[in-house]
Amino acid sequence: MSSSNSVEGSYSKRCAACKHLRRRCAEDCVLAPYFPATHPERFECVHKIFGAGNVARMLKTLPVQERAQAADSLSAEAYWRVRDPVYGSTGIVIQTNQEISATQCELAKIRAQISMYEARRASEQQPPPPPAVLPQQQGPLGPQESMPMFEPNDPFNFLN
Amino acid sequence: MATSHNSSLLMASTSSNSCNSTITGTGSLSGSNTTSSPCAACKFLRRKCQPDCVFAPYFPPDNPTKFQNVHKVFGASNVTKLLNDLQPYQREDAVNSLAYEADMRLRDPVYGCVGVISVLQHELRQLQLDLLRARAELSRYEAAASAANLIGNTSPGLALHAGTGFGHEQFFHPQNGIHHHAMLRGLETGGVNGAYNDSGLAAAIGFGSLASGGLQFLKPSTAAGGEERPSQV
Repeated sequence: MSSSNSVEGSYSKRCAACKHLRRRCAEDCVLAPYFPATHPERFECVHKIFGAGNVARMLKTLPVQERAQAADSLSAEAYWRVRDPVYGSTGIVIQTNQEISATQCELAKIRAQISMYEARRASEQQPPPPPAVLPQQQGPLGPQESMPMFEPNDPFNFLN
Repeated sequence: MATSHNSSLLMASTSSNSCNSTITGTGSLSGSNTTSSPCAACKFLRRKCQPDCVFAPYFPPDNPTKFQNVHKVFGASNVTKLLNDLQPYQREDAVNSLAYEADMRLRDPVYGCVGVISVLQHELRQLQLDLLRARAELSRYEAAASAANLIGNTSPGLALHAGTGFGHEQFFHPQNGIHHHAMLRGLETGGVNGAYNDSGLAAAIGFGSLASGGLQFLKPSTAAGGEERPSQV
């Protein structure tokens, strides 16, 4: 009886994977730490998309300290694929890329607007250029004698 | 509804039209005299490529790597089941997305496609922060311009700079229309009941810890790397 109890005990301690696959859960079951019996849906997703054999093989090829992260990422990908059988997690990549493009476009527009404000401020802060000084013009009488300047208040000045 | 329009966004394989899966040799079933090689899947699996082979349209023989990767990660039988559950017009995109995910998984056996999503989400967050800062800066400029216009309007004796044409309405206001449109396009191409709701995006965002993602899944701290098993009932 004790052996059957131990067998039952070992069966009752099966991980979600071995429960689903209806097999004995070995002590060194590679899936057990990452697919506990408390979360059967997690393994069901992964098994449906990747297959238990593929998952076990992939985890075995990894160092032990990386297997938890790998199991989580596989679970996430399987979850997304179940939700969206056509695109799965690739759809999220596409969508995120689209959001990045849209955000970049928006950012560029706002920066262009800021540049316009900055350019305007820079032009306002510059001192006005001095009035242009025209060089002394040579009249037909030569450089010594130039044409008298017209002065509206002294119309007869040119007679002097 | 999902369409094939997003196939160009994926690292797609060649078109499905390039493969002719008719078999010749032993008792040709079709009236065609063309001799064509089996598709990449049947070639890899070393089996006859039937005329109704589900893989043939999507795994042409000139690209064997595509099927090898998909088979290595997902398995041929799982892919068959996935494709059989889809409408014919959805299968090409599904195969291309599977090929992409398989390729990512082989490049990064730990994180796979999730790693790509994490990187993209990080980039998106940075851009959104930059956008917030830029909007705040623009608001300051706009407020200063409005104040200057107000002063100019109330004190006509002062030098006015209001005629510069920098009216508030002339600038493009960042609208959310483009953002939502992009998301809607993504949702439409998700194809199944609006797959990418907030929990889906939260799943992607929350993958820094890989402990949530909107899923009540095992936390990494409880997965003791196989060295000890968690207490089980």
